[in-house]
Amino acid sequence: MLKPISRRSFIKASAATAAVISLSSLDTNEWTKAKAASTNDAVIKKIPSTCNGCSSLCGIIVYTKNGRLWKLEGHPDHPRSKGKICARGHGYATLAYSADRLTKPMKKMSSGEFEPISWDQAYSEIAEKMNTILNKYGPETVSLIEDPRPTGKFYSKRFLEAIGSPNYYTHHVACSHARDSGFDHTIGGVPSADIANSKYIMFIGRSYGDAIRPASIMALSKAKSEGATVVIVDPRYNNTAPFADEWLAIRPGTDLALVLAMSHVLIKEDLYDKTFIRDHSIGFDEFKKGIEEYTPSWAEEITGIKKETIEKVARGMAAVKPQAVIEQSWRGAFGCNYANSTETGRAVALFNAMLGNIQQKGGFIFGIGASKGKLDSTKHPNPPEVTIGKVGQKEFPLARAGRGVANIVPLRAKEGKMRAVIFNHSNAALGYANPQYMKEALAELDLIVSIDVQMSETALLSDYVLPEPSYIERDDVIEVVSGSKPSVVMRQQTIDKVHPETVPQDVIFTEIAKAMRLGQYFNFTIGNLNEAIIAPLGISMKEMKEKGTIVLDEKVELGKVPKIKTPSGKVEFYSETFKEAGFSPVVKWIPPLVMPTKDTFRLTTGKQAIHSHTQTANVPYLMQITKDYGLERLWMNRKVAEKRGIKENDFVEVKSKMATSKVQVMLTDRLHPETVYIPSHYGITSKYLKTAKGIGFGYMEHVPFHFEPMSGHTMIHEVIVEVRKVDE
Amino acid sequence: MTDRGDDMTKDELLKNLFLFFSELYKEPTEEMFDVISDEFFQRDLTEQLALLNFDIQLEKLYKPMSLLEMKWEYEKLFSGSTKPYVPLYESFYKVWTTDQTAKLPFAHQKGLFMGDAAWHMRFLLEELDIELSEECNVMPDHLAVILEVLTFFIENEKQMEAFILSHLDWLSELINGMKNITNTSFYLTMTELLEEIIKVLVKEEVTIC
Repeated sequence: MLKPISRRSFIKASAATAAVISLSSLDTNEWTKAKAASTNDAVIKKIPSTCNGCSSLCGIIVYTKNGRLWKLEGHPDHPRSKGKICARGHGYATLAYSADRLTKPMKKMSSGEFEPISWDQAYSEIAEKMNTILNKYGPETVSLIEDPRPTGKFYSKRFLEAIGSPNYYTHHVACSHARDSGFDHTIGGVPSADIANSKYIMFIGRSYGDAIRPASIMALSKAKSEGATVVIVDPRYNNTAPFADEWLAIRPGTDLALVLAMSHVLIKEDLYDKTFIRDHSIGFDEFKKGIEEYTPSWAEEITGIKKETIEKVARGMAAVKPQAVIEQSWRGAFGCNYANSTETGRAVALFNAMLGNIQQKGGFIFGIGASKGKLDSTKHPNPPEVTIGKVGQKEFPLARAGRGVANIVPLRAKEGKMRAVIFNHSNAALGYANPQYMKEALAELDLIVSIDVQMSETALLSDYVLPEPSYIERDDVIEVVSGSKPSVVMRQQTIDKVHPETVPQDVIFTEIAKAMRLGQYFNFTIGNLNEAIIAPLGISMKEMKEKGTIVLDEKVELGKVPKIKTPSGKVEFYSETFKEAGFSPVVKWIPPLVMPTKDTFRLTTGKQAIHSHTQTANVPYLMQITKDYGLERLWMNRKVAEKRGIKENDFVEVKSKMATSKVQVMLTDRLHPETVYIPSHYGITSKYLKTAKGIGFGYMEHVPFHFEPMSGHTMIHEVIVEVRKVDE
Repeated sequence: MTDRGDDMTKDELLKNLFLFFSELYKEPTEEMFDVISDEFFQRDLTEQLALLNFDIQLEKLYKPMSLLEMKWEYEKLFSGSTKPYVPLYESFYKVWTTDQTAKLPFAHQKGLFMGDAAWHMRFLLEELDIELSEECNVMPDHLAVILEVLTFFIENEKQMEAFILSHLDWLSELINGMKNITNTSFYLTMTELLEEIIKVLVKEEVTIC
């Protein structure tokens, strides 16, 4: 007989008796059928929260049945969802129940493999290593990088302040960094286009049909149905193009020339808003002088767009100003794409200013927010102010300071000047810069900690991986979403937590801080914090939880130009800030860093409506759509391909200076012949993400590790590749 | 009670056996390693099966050489710290829900956690007035929990059969998954043995839902 063994019972039984259980209720299927018939309100709950399928963080209504996810809808009041959610929102929710999630804290052992450890061990070891680094090298050698979300934005920054480090960075180097810098230093920030009320809309690289925010699509649909003219500027006939009156298949990397030439037309033909320029700008004369050389004929040579078309579009926009707008974009064509992207951002902002559309119906609207409450600092002391400068700020003074230039971290790591990094929901190693470089650089660090829900490529490079509950299983910090009307939005736990050992990041930061003997700065819960945030807004926690999204009564005053947040308080057509940073004070043409020859192509990338960066690639439901339609394939101009003997679905080798990839090809007439296009969601290499691994290739593997000198972004489209047919 | 267990009833022997298996599917301890690495472990196990009148031949056991190896094998197979792995959760092997009112696209797919099986196990635990202990950190459809709960139904053959058919009909899927990772695993052999025992008890081929 087996030797007796001490039992670690998983259950606590009192006077348990099986007699009470009927045979039918022992059958899962029968029992489920009986339960399924029950659809009354006591069983099905509607809980408002927010999506995390992309960075729009749309409002959602989560239907749950007995603590499990049952149905999702868009929140009707949320300004970005307006009652709808996209495929990503539906698909990504599966994450909660995925077998590929992180479930326990993990530590990388000397073998390179990960082993589960206890939270106590994780906290104490991380704290000890962090304190050693701080004492030996100083707080300037510790960084935190995140894809900012409400809880992270509060806790990450507070944690860094507690340890005395200024080094907070976001993903924007591979997103909207160039646009932000271009806009910030000319019109004082990034407004939102009032698409719904616009009469003439130009999109440059931005595609609402590929990076869906439901409210944006609704706005565009309304504008179109009311007769707006829509122009798409994109080397690719993207999925917003069906809305378009005109598709300008521009040569990639030359958008700046187009905008400069359109500006030239406005000035030469006296079509700009003189009153706005007189009252709200500085340096227009210098700008006007500089723009003289950028004629439509000049731009035609560079962009491939006929000068007559350039003139027609500029005149068309001027004719309906101020209800005309070049949409502000995110990554689009000038967020982080080319050596001239910051300058393109500047040119786009200034073109809009010439239309006089700032704070005008159908133009550019600076949204308004609301003053959130803060924790009582007498009870919850704030960490001391950090006095040292952020690494990278000196090198890239035009970059938005709050977001920093994240790729400075691996650069300094390679130099031995950065010793520890915390990655908070950030797959920087795959998504921010060349993965090989990132891998080599991060290997130089003494400590890497990743907080995530799945084992990303960045988590794989980490020493400790700390698992969070998924976004529908946790509360987050309440946030104010600015807009024409500000909204207060709360993400809250909607379903029962699936993996018992996952811990939300507010607790993770709190416990690490406590283990580092910095607990005095974290002597509150996320509940205390949320109460403090809504206190001055006249909202109770009960109301917040019931409604999820609360639209405040304040409203943007249209027609009144707000104070422009530039040094002069006006739109700066001449920028001393640019001059002091060593760049031209007025906008000027900058060619792309590299250009293809007749035998090579520029590798470009972009989004698909069913995925969000690489974050959703491992969702089986969404990846199946990819497989069904061959969405991971490389787009190639049909005529160009046929000349090379390449047929639909052939395998091709894509070779750059940095990498060689193999992929199937999709032939299309919808693409500029000088480029090949690869969607940005593929190329997962983490063996933990078994649905996504091995599908397609990652464009970032081909991007050299480099910085655009103005704002420090990644220049993801400055890549030349050779393409040749190969065997399967 | 003697070492041979001659004076134990069949129910007690069966309960003892399932509790042993339940323990086996928890993270390995030194004590468990000592038990299974004992030179008489296979003999004792065979004896216990004989006392239960089970005509089951025990295959060659690939016993781990150390606790470290046992832990490594457990983690490799079940924890998800490496991939591929085979979760010890019933839900993973069955469609997430058979409730046709579920509106989400993944609702009727396999490979997810906290499906109907977990929900039903939670219901049974509540009905039995028992709770998952705070320390165990598992979902209610973990194999160790299922085996422990099974012991409550041993005295009533019909209940036991119904419970087995409902919650232990996925072992062959688990075994196939383990075989895709390794063919020489202690856990594989023991799980095959467990499946044989289950088959004898329900006197019919267990089929996967």
